[in-house]
Parts: sequence; structure tokens; C-alpha cells
Amino acid sequence: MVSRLGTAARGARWLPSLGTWAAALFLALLALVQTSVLPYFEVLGAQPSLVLVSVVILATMQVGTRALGLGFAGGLMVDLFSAAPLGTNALLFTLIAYVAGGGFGGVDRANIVIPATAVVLATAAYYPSVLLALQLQGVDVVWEAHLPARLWPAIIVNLGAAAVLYYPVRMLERWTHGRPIPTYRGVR
Amino acid sequence: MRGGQRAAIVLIGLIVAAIVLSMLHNTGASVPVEGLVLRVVEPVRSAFTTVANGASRALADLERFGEMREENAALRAEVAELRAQTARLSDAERENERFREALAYLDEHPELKLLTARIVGRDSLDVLDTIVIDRGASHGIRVGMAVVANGGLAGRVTKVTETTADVLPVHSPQSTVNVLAQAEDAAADGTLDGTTGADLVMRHIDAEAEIMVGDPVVTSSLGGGLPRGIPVGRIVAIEVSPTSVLRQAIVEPLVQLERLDVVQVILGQTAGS
Repeated sequence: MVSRLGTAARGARWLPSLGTWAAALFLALLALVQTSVLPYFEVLGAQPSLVLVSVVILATMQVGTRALGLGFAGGLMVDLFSAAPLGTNALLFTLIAYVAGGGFGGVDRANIVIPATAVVLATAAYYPSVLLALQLQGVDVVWEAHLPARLWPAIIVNLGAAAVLYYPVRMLERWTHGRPIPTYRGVR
Repeated sequence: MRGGQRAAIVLIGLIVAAIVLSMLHNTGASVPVEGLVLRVVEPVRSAFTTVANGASRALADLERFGEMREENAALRAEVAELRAQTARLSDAERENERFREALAYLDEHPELKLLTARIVGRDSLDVLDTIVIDRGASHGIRVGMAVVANGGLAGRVTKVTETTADVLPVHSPQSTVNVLAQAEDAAADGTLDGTTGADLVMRHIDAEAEIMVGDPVVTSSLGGGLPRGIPVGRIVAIEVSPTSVLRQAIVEPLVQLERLDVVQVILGQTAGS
């Protein structure tokens, strides 16, 4: 199935397509859920980073720059809704989307194993990075207290979130983005 | 431009944008825009938080289910204990009321020597209607003494032990008491019998006696059993027997013994009264 919201709905070429706006809206909703709902439901002492997971899944399915924009937008919304210093998550999610998109180029992107692996690696990279970014912005970070206690639970919880979000995100991607998802057997 | 180069350029642009945003945030310049965005999403966010909070509490309650069950059992036991205490207090209050009434009767009749007793037993077969009081011969009670309550005749002592006494209530079918129906200008003699119903029957009333419905009925001293003038009830109906020249009256008793906890036994009258 090919999206009707992708290229067909696009106006000026430099503007994001309607599909990209829809995806951004989806990420905004996830950001709201992540910052307003999930703090009440900790699992293993950690909360799933829905936006990070979704951005990573999107990035592994896409080629081109669309995932970068969505990563930036998703991170920005997390910053806004979670009272984090503005730009922190926007920067990190953009970088993660770039690496995830480039790192898994040419492999089977329609397989859940790839996004799942990417989510594990991204989470492992994200937590030290966000602590570092916060420290650079003057936040007093106690590394030995924050990192070891939260990293493994976060990885496990985000892996679970990836299993839940993979198919909805894939459907969203197909619906909002005109390009088919490449696989080793061709495209789907 | 190749895809990789384009992506790198977009990446650099976004990184720069993120850094600029961070700087704006640190200087406070972005605060108005942040405030505007947050104001827009506030209703949704508030709804999400409310639902999440409720769901979280429900979940926590579920997790605490076992603990709550134990707590519930403990609270139920506490409620039962408190109810029992309330009932006991209520009983005590009722009993106090009865004692107050008894004292009031004593005040009204200073000439009578009264002994307050508590009803400690009733006829379980409901045949004799007898009640048992917790005062007996050791307290001066003798067979035949009048027992009053709430200012009216309740019965007579029929049996005495050292510490208890049996009282035959005035409403018992076994009971017969000499009484007077007090009309306005005169009094009519008769005997008051208990019945199986709620009312009493005053028999052997002289056909010429001018009694009316509403007249009070009191004890007479005939037979020497009871002191004269103890209220027993009031006439609610007068019946004329076609086979007899005497009349009979239905008397509503003043005392409902089944509702009482405390009675007074008239031990006698003080000298000079």
C-alpha cells in the first residue's frame, strides 16, 4: 500500500509533507503520553521512552532526511513537555535518527529484529548522552547513581515498548510516507 | 546532491537549530513560545494526567488488594466492636432513663417505701408471663407485694427467693387485682383480670356506678393485698352483659411490662402516711 499523504499532498517542496506533519502529530501525542501518563506507571523503576523508540523505528524504516526532521520534532516535544532544557532531546534524537537510519541502510528494514536492535543500541547511547548533555548545561549529575541503576531497566522497558510500537509505527509510516519500505526481498 | 550529503546538511542544520534553541532557552528568550505551546496542549495534558492518575490509583489498589482485604477484615471487626459498644451504651442510657423514671415515681410518692429492682428474667414459655427481678427476701421483698413501674401497677410478687423474686404481671391471665374505677364524683369497685390480649378486663362493676370511658382505674385496698390508689390503667370501653346485672369495662394498662428493664417493689408505707 502506498500513502496518499506523502508526495500527493505536498505543497512547496521545501515544506514537510502532510504525511510528515501527521507523523509529527503522532510523536507529539506520544510525547504527551510519555510525560503525562507514563510517570504513573513505572516498570522496573523505568519508564519507556515512547518518542525515542518511535523515532528509532521510523529511522530504521526510512531512507533520506525525513527521519531526521521527525527525530528533531519528537525530541523538541519531549523537551517542551518534560521541562528538559529546550534542544537537549531534540539534538540527541536527531543524532540517533541519523545513526539509526544510516547504520541500518541496506539491510532488511521490514523485520522487527532490526528496529529492536536499534532501540537497544539507541537507548544504551541515549542515557549517557542525555546525562552528559544535562551536565554540560549545568545540571548536577551523579553518574554512579543515575546511570547503572537506570540503564538496564530502560533498555528492557524500551525493548518492550518497541514490540508494542513497531506495528503501529510501521502502519503510520506506510500511511504517511509514500515510499515503500525496503527489504532484502525487495520492497513491501 | 546525493542523499548522504543532503542528510548531512539537514543534520547539521538541525544540530545548529537545537543548539540555538538551547541558547534561547538558557537566556529565557524562548519562554513565551514555550508557554504558548504548553497552554495549547494543557487541556489534553490535564485530561491525560487525570486519567493516568486515576488508573494508577486503581492499579495501586489492585496491588494492595490482599492488604486491603486484611484491613477490611480488621475494620469490620472494629465496626462490630464499636456497634456492640454503641448497643451497650444505648442499653445503659435506656436503663438510666428507667432509673430516672423510677426516682421520679419515688419523688411523687414519698409515703411509699420503694425498692428498685432490675428485671433479670422472663417466662420463656410465655405461658405465665412471669418476670424475675434481682431482688429477693434478703432485700425485704415478700409475696403479695405490689410492683410498680412508670407510675403504674406492673404486677405482684408471687414467689420470693433470697436474692430474686417472681412477679406476676397485671396483664397476665392468671392475675386478678381489686381495683376502683374513679369516676368524677364517685368510684366503682371491681376486679381487674388479665387477658391473653393487650387490654385488661374490669369485672363485677355495679350496674348503677357512673363510670365512663376514660376514667382512671386504680388499686383498691380490698383484700389487703395492695396499697390503695396505685394507677393501673384507664377505661377504654364499657360492656353490658345481657345475662348479668353487673357490667364490665375494658381497661388499657398503664404499664407495658415487656418494654421495661427496671421496676419498683413497694415494700410498704412510711409511718404516718
